[in-house]
Amino acid sequence: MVHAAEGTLQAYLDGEIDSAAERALRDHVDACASCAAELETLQRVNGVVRESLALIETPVPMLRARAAIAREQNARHRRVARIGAWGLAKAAMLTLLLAGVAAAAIPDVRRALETTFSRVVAMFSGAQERTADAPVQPQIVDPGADVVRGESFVAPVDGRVRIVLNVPAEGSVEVIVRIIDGAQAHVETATTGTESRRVGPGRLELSGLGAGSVTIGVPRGVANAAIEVDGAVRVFKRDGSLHGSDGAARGSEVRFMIGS
Amino acid sequence: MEFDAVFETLYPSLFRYLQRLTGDEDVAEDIAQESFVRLLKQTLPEDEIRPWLFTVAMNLVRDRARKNERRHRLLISAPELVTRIPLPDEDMERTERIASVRAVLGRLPERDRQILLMREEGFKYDEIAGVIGVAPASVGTLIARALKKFVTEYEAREVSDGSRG
Ligand SMILES: [Zn+2]
Repeated sequence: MVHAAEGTLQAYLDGEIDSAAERALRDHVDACASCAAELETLQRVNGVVRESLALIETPVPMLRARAAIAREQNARHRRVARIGAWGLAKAAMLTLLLAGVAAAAIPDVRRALETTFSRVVAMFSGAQERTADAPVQPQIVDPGADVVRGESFVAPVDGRVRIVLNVPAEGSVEVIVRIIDGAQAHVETATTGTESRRVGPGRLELSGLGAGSVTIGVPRGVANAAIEVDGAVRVFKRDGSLHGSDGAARGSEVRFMIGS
Repeated sequence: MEFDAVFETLYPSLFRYLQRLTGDEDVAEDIAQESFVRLLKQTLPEDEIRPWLFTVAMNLVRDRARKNERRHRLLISAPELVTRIPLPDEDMERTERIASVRAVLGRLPERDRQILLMREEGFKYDEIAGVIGVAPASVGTLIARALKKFVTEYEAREVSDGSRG
């Protein structure tokens, strides 16, 4: 009897063989102790590796990459716009030539030139002002006031919540983290920036903060919560208590400053 | 698919892959970002985007390693240093296990690491084959052998840790 190859058994576990081959393989494994044992070994090592790799998973920092991509996209839009503007400039020169030929029709030529010129200007300024594909949607609660207030709730996923803060470009922000009652994490902001936020399953990311304060309520019932600043955990919750980044327990309220 | 949708879908996967592969979050972030900037200039069929990204990223990992031999050696020899968050006592065992996983992964041949980590990100065999340049039919065998290598090393380490402590 021909035994199943190690690679075939692995492909079977990964769902990479077709159904006819799968049936034949299953029949063989049912009748062959040696292949059954090999399959069991593979199942075990697959399990060990899956579990091991899950252990070294870290939070994915998206913000910097989003910003870099947006910058690159804007630069590309500008390059495209410049080529377009050059095309129009050539059209304007052609119009001038035509103007030389048909000198009698000066008012028309002038109007044509003016139109072209304004289109060139629009093209350039349009490209410069463009913040195309901005990665985050600003949610300015009160655009009239200096201090902008925002409020968000984050539902835990699998007993976990993550709040990600990005250090403000200017000014300093006091961050207050408290354990609260209730099922959802609660994040209140009052800063001078044009705050933007991004919500994902069990997580909230805030950026564009100005000077002011951010108050984060972590639900008592959440098993695992982390407050991250620029990619590093500053405060986390375990066993009903908040801990600093040094691991020391800090009770039910922690305050710290971020920014300059 | 729009570029932004591709980014939101594939960036986390590429970052995770690179972070586990190199053991260095900063390197992973730089390279994942650079790979997507390069993707902006490409026009690719949708099903080729993922293998393309992972291939470009792997080339960037190798470029960086060549340019910075010494740093690379440091990374490979001490990937445990990357663990950032000191944990409470009850998580000490977990911390040690994380260090073991990083160390064992760091000692696997590069291709084995790539194979295991791409599969972990849900790559199909033909995608893995495309990235590492082998026949799709050989991927099952390569995965099985890499898995066994990992587990043998990992368990040998646990036994030696246990006898010390
Ligand atoms: Zn058999």
